[in-house]
Amino acid sequence: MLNSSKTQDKPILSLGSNKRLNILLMLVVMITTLTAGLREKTESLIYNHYGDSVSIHYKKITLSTEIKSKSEKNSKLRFKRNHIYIWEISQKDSLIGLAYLDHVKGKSQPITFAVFYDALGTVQQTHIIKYREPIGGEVGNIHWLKQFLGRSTISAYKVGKDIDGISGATISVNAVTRGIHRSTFVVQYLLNRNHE
Amino acid sequence: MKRILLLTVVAGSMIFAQDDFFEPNYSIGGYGELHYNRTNTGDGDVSTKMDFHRFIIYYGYNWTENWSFKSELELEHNFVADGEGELELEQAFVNYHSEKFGLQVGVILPSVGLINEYHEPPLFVSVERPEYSKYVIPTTWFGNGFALYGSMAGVNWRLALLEDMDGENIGAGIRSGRGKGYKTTAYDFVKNFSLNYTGFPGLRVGGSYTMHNAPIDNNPDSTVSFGLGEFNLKYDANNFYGVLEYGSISYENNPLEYTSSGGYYLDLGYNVAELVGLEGKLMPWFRYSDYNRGNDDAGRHYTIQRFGLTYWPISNIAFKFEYGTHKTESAEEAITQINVGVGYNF
Repeated sequence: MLNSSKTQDKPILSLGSNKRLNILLMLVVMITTLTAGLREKTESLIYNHYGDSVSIHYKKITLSTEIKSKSEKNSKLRFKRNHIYIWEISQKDSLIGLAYLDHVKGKSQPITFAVFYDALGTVQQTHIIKYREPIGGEVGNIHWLKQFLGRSTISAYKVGKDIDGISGATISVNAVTRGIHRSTFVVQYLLNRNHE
Repeated sequence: MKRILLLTVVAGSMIFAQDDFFEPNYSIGGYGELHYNRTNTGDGDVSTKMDFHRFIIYYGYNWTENWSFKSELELEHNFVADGEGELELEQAFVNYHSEKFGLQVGVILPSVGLINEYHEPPLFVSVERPEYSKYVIPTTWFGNGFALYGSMAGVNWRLALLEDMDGENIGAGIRSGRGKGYKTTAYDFVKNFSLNYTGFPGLRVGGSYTMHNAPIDNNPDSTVSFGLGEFNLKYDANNFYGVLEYGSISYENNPLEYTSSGGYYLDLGYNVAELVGLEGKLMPWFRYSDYNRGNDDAGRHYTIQRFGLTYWPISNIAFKFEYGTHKTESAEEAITQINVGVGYNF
């Protein structure tokens, strides 16, 4: 497992040297929870993909400055918040994958998306968990999302070249593509930590 | 002690915090396009024009995940005075949106053709919008009204009811009959129903039917009736680009006594950016269009051919160049046109 602690939502990444800030944020982090609807939907999709026999461990992770800036720089997309949500997927006590939940800004509303990874940090499946606008919802189309299958930190993500655009959904396509690209660096970092 | 108290207060205040990623906020966007047009007929005089054709600001506010306001304000031709230029509120509506269905009330757009709802310049290859999207589909068509929409099994549907059109101004098409939200009547309502499918990557295929009994001089007992049916298809993936739009309008009691008008255009292009080692998208394209604005009237029957080159350094900016001819059936010679433009959206 990534973190031996059973305390749900405990951040596994440190914020730095300011202890007081750490305590304060940990308290805040421990008590804010993902909206039940988003969590239930994501977990149902996790079981659909990885199978009912897996065990899942849900965590809210606060991003360190290091991983935050690295993933922002590579994906050319800033995080609006300092945290993301992760589910560790295990089978018989060994980690077989990670599910990542985050959001990006669409034309005017957040787009909540999930990316399912294998234990090597390769994308297995992507989902739009919630789309909140009347235009651009085509990014939730299963065929479009399939394009991300098998991609990782080293893949190309250029819209129009590596990833198909969608007419009339340019902003959503760019945002979701960058959001998925950004997630690959966070997941890779978490998996590397686990192997250390 | 103070610190513990502070932490307790902070923690206590957050116990029920639910993270759903939404925060009430404003949103802003826009698009615009600058055009250079050069036309000449045979050995006749050349005329040229430079025009910052459209400057648009989108402005919106999201109160909750479900309730928002959206608007689009447009300045045409850079200037408004003495009947020149236009300042239009093309969209301004309250929107309820959920995963199952949505509602829009205010100044809205009917869903008709590819370009009426999605008219940002980087979305089409030509400098000017296709003439089809002006004289067959009266883009941009907007008015006061409300719409219901939703999607099922990858098929998006929308039903819109809008203000009456001005029957007396319908004739060679319905363009001049648009009320544009300005003190219109509401006896019959424009009824617009559309379907489209976007389930296959890069493909959009759809169609719509719109019908209306437009009052003549605001009199509901004397009307011009029309039915507009259209089909549209766009494919933009794997370096291929293709658009086909076809539309037909049938009339009853048309002031010019036309019983029908309509036509089509076809765009074909191929992205060669990779072949020439260029970043972005570079597309040579070809257009053929044939449409009439009233029955088989040779003076209102047009054929258009265009060759163009469009370059998108990024998907939100397009530089466009095109050369082509515009032939009216009754005219001896075709008009030759060269257009250059730049368009953007954000």
